[in-house]
Amino acid sequence: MVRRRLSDDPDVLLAAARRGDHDALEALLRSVHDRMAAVARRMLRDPGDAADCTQEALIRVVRGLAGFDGRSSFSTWCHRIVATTALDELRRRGRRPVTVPETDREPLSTEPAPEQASLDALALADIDSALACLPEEFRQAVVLSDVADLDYPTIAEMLEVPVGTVKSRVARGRSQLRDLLGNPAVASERRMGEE
Amino acid sequence: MDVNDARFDDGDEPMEALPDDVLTALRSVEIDQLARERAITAALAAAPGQRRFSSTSLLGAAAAALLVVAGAAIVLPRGGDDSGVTIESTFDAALADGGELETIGTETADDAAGDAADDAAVIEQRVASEEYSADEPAAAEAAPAVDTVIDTDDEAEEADAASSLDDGAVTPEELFDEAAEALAAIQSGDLKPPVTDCVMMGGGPVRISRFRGVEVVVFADLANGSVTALATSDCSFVVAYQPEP
Repeated sequence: MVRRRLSDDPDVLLAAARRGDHDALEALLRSVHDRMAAVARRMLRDPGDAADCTQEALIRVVRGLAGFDGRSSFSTWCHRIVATTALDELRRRGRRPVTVPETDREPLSTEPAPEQASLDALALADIDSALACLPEEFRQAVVLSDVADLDYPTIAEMLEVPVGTVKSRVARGRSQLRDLLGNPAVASERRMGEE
Repeated sequence: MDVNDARFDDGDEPMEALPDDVLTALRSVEIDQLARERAITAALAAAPGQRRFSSTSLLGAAAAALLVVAGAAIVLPRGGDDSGVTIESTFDAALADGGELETIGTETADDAAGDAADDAAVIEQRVASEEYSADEPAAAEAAPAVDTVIDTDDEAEEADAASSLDDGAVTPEELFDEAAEALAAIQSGDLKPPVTDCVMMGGGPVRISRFRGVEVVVFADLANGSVTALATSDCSFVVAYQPEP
């Protein structure tokens, strides 16, 4: 039995995939799938829609591989594609931004969280709920910045807003996210800084 | 709060990174393995010039088939009533001999030549189908190799046969026969997966084929003597069979 061994280096896989190496292409897709799925999930929130979005984005990746210019990393390029696909889906739905009044935002946990909360203690359900409470614009900005790892100019181009607006939305979104996740130490520090 | 308020547009607000645990949680989502395999299979199928499925994607598609079959009722084939087909015991005999596990090789010059010959054969079949299509007499007349429009039963049957060759298997039994032939060919060494689009998984052959014009992944379950075909385009069911008790 001979099993072909593939390189772990994304650049090597990418070069092989662009030459038509099917196995390299598959390895490449597998390496980026989960993060792309996370971007789609955080953008769209619905698991089914996110799965469809991820699949469509992967197909776009494959079809656009020949045109990938290498100015960004392959993974960043893939993140941008899935984010664009998700934004297209949001626009197609015609969803309007949902703004949650300040008074409605309560910390998700009534128990004081430790200053250095562990991932184990940070329930994924809390993250979902906290993201759902963020205004749509803030959520998109935070996801594009912190999940898709896109830079501000790229996000600004995708969202069709100035870079300054993106920075503000990311800052406000992160701040609200921390507050919503009930980290009193960080939230308090932020409030003191703002005062 | 108006997020489009000008005070949010200056970008001068203090920028603090999220804690690592929050970042990790943000990037961690539950991955639906079936959706994952479906997405990757669909993307690979969309690749330019990528008509073959690697062993891994075949296994993924077969795993998806197993997952779906486990939770679904048997689905009748599209566009026909072929229920009640009894799957013969070819696979039972193979099972008695002991199942083979996945065999993966590399492409050889002979394989490539064989593929080219196969491709040529397919092209010939398609030409024959187009030239002798009973449904399109005008096209048949226009074809230089055909002198008369087909009007006899024998010729019509011949045309149907050519057409069905082009569309792949028509009945589930043919799909089963393909799987049985693949199993025998793998065991005899005539097929060298994955070049042949056929691998062994769980003791049964998995291969890419066509059923009524739809490209499918065919998975044969030796233990149950059943055969399942999923469309390669979206992993949707095309046909699934179980033997009669």
